[in-house]
Amino acid sequence: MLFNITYTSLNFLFFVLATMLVYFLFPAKKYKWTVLLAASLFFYAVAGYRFAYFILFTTLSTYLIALWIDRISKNSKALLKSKKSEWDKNQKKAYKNRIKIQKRLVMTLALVLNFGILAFLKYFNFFAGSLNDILGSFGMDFSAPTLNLFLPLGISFYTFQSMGYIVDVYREKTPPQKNPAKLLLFVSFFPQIVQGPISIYDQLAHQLFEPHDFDFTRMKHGMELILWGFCKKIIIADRAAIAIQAVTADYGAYSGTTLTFIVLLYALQLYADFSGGIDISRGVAQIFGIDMIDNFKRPYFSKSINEYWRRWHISLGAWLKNYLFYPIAMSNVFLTASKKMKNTRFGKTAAGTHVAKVLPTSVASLIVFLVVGIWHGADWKYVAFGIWNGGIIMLSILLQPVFDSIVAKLHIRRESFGYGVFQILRTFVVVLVGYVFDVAPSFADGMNTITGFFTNQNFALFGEECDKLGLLEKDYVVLAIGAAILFFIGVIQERNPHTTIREMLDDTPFALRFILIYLGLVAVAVFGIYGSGYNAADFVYMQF
Amino acid sequence: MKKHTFLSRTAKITCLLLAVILTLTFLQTYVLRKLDHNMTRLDGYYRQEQGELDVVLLGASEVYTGFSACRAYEKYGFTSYPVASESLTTDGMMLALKEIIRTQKPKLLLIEPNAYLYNETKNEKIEAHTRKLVDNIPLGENKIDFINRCVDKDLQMEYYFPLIKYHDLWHELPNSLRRTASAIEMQLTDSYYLRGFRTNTEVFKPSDKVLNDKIIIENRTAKLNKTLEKKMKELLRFCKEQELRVAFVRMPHMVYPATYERVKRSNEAAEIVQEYGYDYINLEREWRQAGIDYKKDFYNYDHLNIYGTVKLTDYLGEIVQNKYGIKRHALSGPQKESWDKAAKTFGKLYRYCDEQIKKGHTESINEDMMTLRRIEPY
Repeated sequence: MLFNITYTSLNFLFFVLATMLVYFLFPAKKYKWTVLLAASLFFYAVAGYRFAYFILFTTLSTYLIALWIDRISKNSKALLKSKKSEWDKNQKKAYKNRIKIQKRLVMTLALVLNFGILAFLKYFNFFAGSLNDILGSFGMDFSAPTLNLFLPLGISFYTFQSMGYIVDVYREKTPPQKNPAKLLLFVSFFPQIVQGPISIYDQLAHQLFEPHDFDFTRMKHGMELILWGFCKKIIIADRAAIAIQAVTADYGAYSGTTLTFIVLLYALQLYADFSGGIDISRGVAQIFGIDMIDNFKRPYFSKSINEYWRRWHISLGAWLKNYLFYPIAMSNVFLTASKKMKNTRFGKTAAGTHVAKVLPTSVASLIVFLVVGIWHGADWKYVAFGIWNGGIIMLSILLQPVFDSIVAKLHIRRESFGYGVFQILRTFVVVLVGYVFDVAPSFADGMNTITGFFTNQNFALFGEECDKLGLLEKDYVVLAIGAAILFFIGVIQERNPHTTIREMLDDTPFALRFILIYLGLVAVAVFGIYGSGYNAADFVYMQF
Repeated sequence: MKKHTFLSRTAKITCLLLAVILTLTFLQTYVLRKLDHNMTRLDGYYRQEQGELDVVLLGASEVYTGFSACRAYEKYGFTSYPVASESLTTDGMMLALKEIIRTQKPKLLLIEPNAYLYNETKNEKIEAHTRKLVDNIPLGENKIDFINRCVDKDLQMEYYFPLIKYHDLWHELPNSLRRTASAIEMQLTDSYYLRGFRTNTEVFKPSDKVLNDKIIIENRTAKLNKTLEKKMKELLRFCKEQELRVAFVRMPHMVYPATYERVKRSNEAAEIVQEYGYDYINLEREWRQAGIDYKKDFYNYDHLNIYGTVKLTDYLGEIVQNKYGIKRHALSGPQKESWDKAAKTFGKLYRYCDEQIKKGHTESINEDMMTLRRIEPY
């Protein structure tokens, strides 16, 4: 990094302010988007200049291949039109199939090239290391080399985003972008490059290219969102990170009680960090008149793990659903397997009918979550994280009739408040178990932690161990208050899912808004974790 | 947009920003700040009117523990003040010197050379030693120049906005509010009656062998650290350029084997200072003439206690008066009132410290309202 321009730095705020001024004062309305492009390139040049050629390669390859796919489509349609009277139905069908394969091959080229770069940079050392371990365990003297690789800033996010665009062009959901500079803006838009959200071309692109005039309400809402993001990130997440880092640095030294507490703290940190960062991103975009997808919907209020993943990192979930889950679940292999099962003796039973029906969905879920796990990082612990989440979802789909019958036999009213709370807590525990693999330095440590939950609880040591985590008693109070505020706001949002807190605030007296914003600004300045006494914590999702 | 909407929004935003800026400024000045004796001393210094001070002393902790401006005023009539902070660095010395020139133009400047006598430059790199001075100097040309020259680019913002550095001090609330109240009260009532003095109520019993008898006859020299020597010569050149009336004063220390080489470096420093035509008053070696009894007059190896302070102030005051001809000068009514009260306050402090020492109560005495109230009955 040439200089510190992370989202929570003063430099970033000045940068946004300067971009705002230029954008809103730019005389040529039609070309306002070039200001955003220049700002995005500047941001990337400052934050990740050493690897800028990766994002340029992805943009260029995406641009050319999208045009190529489009040309194949257009040429084929023109040919079909010209041969309309000459070709019979079978000839047309054969030609269409040939074109489909051709387009798919070209699309695959883009996917292989770009996911190939991502996979190589992110996973080469992981696979080389794993291969060495496996061969070593068989006594084979072979050593695959490991390389000194660095991940370009935002590579996961911009690769997923640009490949989503390629698939959309392939599916003819969206026309290809003819202007490479505009595509570069879509790929590199600075508020989203660090940690998403992963936007869909149709949803974002037109907003980027349209000229937006200054709008006071949008700016106010954007600023409020940025402030809320700052509160979450530097008061809560970065404070919790101090304790979590202390534990992960010496993982074996803590009792199961402390580790349980740390996993809970991690749930708070991860949510505050990721959603705080996204709030900052969305707030900045909103100032420029751009609505980015909301990546979170109170995930810890989910009543099932399936729902949790629809509320957590929504843009990744949507991407995976569109571009991975459906293609797998709807693939011939799974549909055929499902049909075949239905025709077996087991398939004729009630259970068999259910299993045959949900088999494609459940297996696709497992595969998708395996990908989610691997996407999070090149480590077996992330594989375990993916399998745990995918496995739970698969089982919950497969065993749904069993759960239904238990609920019926126990005469539980699903709509009751108590059952709702039970579902939320149950889901939260499942999520926490998944987080264990996130927090633990390795898969083995994760397994030991889970064992420790049951065998190594030591409440007597807990207080003493908490004192060693780099936080003072008052920091824990701040975290508790922070968690309570998040919970309280979450409850309000759950009750009013279609209105944002900012819109609600608009209807309150000016004095109340004034006090809240004033307190927010002062709280960030006083209780924030920043300055040379601390190592500023990177956004957790930046590493993914 | 309608004009009144625009005006109303502008007013609201301005109010909000003003409220936040004022709050943060207040917090940065009175709450989330190192509210210690270094701050009070410099606050008190900047309260002195231009031309009010006859003598200014510049240096590290030896200066404000070994010399009492109040006592010197009472006995000799000249006004003085220690511009000093804990373990002051050489860059800090230069900054403080520039500030003294900017604010006072004293008739005599006494410089304690401790910052130049270390055998390496570790002290220079300790941020706290820099900040104990710089944080308490108001923003101006000298401070900006210092920050640009001496502070890492990454840290410069923290010097302009100390809240970035010290916001974490909220952990000390509410206990620190006592110091906040004291700082505000001192400013409002202009109660800097100890004139930057600080001490401990203790008679030090050293565990090491004390070599003070030996240093009296020690004439050997030892080379100064190259970097520190360069800095010292820069300061000397600057004094020459500014045509300042300067004398170097080495304050007394309890010397033991680990610090013996420092005595030789002090001898070397004396030669350098004299090359520039300035006096080097080596009170470290003249401790007997000053009447210092190292068995009674220190509270640790490097600092005199209240008994030592009185003896040293009397001795140095005499030199200032007799050798440099600094005499009582006419003060305005309020100035005289303030200095008279300062002299009385020091008397009370002396009696208080004497009682505490005799009772065996060890206590740090800092210049604040709590101390002033504690010594009031004495």
